[in-house]
Amino acid sequence: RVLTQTGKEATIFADQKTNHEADLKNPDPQEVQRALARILCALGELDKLVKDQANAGQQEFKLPKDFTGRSKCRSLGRIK
Amino acid sequence: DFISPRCFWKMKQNEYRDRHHGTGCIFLILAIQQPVKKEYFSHILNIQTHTENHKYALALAFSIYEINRNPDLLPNMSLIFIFSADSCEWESELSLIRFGLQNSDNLPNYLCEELTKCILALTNMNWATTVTLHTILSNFLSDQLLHITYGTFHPALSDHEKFPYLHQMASDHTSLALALVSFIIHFGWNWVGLVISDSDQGIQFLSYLRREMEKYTLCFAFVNMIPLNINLYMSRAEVYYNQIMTSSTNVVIIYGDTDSTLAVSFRMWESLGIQRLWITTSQWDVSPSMKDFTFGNKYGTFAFEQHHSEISGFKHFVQTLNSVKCPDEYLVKLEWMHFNCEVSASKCKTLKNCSSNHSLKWLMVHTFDMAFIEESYYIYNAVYAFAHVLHQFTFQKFDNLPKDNGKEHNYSCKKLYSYLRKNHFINPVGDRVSMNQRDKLQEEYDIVYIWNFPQGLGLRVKIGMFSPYFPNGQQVHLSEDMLKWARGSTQVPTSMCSADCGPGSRKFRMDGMAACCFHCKPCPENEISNETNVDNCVQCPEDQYANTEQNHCIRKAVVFLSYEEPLGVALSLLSLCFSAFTTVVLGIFVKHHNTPIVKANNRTLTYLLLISLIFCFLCPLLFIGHPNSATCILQQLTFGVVFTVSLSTVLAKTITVVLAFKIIASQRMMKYFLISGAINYIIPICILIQVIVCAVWLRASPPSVDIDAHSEHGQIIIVCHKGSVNAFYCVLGYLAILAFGSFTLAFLSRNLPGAFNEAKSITFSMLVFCSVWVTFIPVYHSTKGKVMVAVEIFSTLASSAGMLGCIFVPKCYTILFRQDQNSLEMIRVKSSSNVHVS
Repeated sequence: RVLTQTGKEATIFADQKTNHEADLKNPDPQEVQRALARILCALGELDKLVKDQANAGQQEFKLPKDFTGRSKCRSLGRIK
Repeated sequence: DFISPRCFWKMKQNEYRDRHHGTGCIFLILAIQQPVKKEYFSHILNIQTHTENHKYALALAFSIYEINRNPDLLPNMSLIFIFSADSCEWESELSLIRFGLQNSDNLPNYLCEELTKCILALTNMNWATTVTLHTILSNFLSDQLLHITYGTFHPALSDHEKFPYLHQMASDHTSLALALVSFIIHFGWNWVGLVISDSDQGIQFLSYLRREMEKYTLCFAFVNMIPLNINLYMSRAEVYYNQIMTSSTNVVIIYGDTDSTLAVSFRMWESLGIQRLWITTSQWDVSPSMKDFTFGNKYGTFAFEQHHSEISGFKHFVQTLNSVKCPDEYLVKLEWMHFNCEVSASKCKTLKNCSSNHSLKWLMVHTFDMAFIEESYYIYNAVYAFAHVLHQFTFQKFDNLPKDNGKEHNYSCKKLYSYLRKNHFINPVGDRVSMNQRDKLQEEYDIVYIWNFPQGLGLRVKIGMFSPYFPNGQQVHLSEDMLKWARGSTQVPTSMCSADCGPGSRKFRMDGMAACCFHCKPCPENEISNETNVDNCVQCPEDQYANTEQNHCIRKAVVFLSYEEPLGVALSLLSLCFSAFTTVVLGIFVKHHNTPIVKANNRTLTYLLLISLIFCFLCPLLFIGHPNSATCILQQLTFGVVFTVSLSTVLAKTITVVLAFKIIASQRMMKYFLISGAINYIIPICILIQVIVCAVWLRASPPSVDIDAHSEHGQIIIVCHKGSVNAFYCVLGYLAILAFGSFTLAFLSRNLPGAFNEAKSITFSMLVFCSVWVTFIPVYHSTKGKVMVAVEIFSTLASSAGMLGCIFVPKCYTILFRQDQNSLEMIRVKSSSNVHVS
């Protein structure tokens, strides 16, 4: 079919700055510190798990029987 | 082989993927000295999290399992990773910290415990959260964590000065722009819409695509930049929708994050039944889980997926982890599954028929593996890259260090990362992987057709491939058979800004129009265009002219007075007949040369006049036929000289008559001229003058062939150009003088006595001669081409015939039919009666 012709490119810009800043919140400093602590704790937990396994002299690496996929670090702060 | 059939199917679930609700996992991978059995990875399936996370965790487990089984890679060492629900919730934690990082008072300035190993953090989060994580890692754990992302490439994260320990596995899609452009060109489109996220990725992609499109004179019908902010988007949603609906394009490219407002828009447009052909990237298999959207779209969706070799055994690996939890019915909801197209294609003519004819059970039977789609493949390569670097670090590169065959090292992550960045290797499926950003290979893309069927069934069919390594213009290869099978037809909609300018017209752009939009204008006169959409028409060569449609040049007809055409035949016959008749007259005069009428009129001059008249009649033959330089010169010279001979003979005859009768009357002095033959010098003198005029003509500007290709449409008129028109009129003028002189003398002598006085006949003949040539001049100038030549021939014949008719026909009549008047007796009677009268 013969298409109608506009001949000009139509561009609709959004205000990008507004987008990025739109969801800015001012968090509670204590909440921030707790979140950071949880992350660092989780990393430490993993490191500890590996160290414990190595020190126990196990032939193969296994997850502890009580492994639930939920970290103890969650108790450091906000639980979702 | 690159377009060998590859088909996938998937059951899409009714879950809306929202990354902010637990889909951005962080996988922490590290090397240990102990072996790890396959059962170790079973825990993945027990974790309560989003299905999407299971998919990536399983892909990671498969990759690690393959590495651990490889005796040549990290021998006596194993890779492990911990997958927990918490690790997929970090994104929300990190987004909180992101804003806290802006105030350093919020952060501790110490870390109680350091990690003992270098851990690889593999993430797929939005760019802002990735930045936050990277900031934490570089502040607190810079020597203990490597950071690689397997999600969408983000330009802001590729700044190595700002993010020195961050690597993105995804490509920056520079080749994707070229791939899309090649695809657009393949289908002959030049007018496409673009919808992108209003983000750095979107803007960067727009710049790549615009650059490539400009190279090939393709245009955007519109560019919609969808804001990331949902509220802002909602306020403008109608504008974006109308933009697509009112645009004349049938093809729209969608590029951006599938978890953004762009995905919301796309779902909405699909649900509103917008009939457009969508072109997207492979992540855009967005499940229209609520409704069977694309089933109602007659054009469908084409997606570009980064090409990689097939990784086999994934399904087997997952099902051996836990066959109860991972039946095919579960896996097909998790990831795309390969099914055997060739069997399907042989059973049903089109994919649509297949889906309706065959049950899910049938698809299950023909499913042979689970696919490794783009992000899973990035995980695969990231883990292999980590393993290779660890291997080099442990076993090869540091020969100077004490060898402890895998005994635990406390690797410096910074050192490891410096190796990682330079690393390149061939992965187990044969693809070259380069971690060096500067050494990145140009990506090849598979082109897939995506079709969503009722009940959440999604099908993807590979219909072709793009490779930047193929020659220009052949970079896209599509399988017509697969396209037909997938879509039911190979026909695709057109998408052009302007209708094609067909042959015979050219493109014409108004100011401000896009490069591919134009009006069509017919080619100017005598110019053609034999292709579509040409910028300029081409002038036909001199000897050709444009046909009515102005799409090709036609050779012009060569026009000249030829012997083949009726006018040429008629004139040449007339010429020959007159010359024959003149010859007959000459014969009669010769035969009756002793009769008084012949003797009385100076036989020599009579013969000479008749012979010159024969040549006068033959002279037009030089005017007929294809002119050439020789005939052009000859026809003018012959005409001038032959007519000069005739007229000078007539003049000599007239002077003879005048002298003869004047002598009888009074002037005996003139007798000397008659007796001595001085009268005979008139003819050569007259001829000599004409020859001199002709010689001057030839020297100054001789007659030549004139090819006139412009006067008449479609004709090349070939005539003899006079050269110097003045010279021609000099010749003609000189003849006029001779004729007029003869006429005057003859007129004055018309009443002189004598039985056979020619004065009257000469008077009439010269009157005819002058009348013919006076008439000739205006007629000659009002015609052109062969008609002009015919006029000249006619004048030549008419003037010659006038002389023949007036001077010789009455005498012939007397000789042949009135012999009684052609005797001495009669001459005497006539002479005496004339004397009495005078």
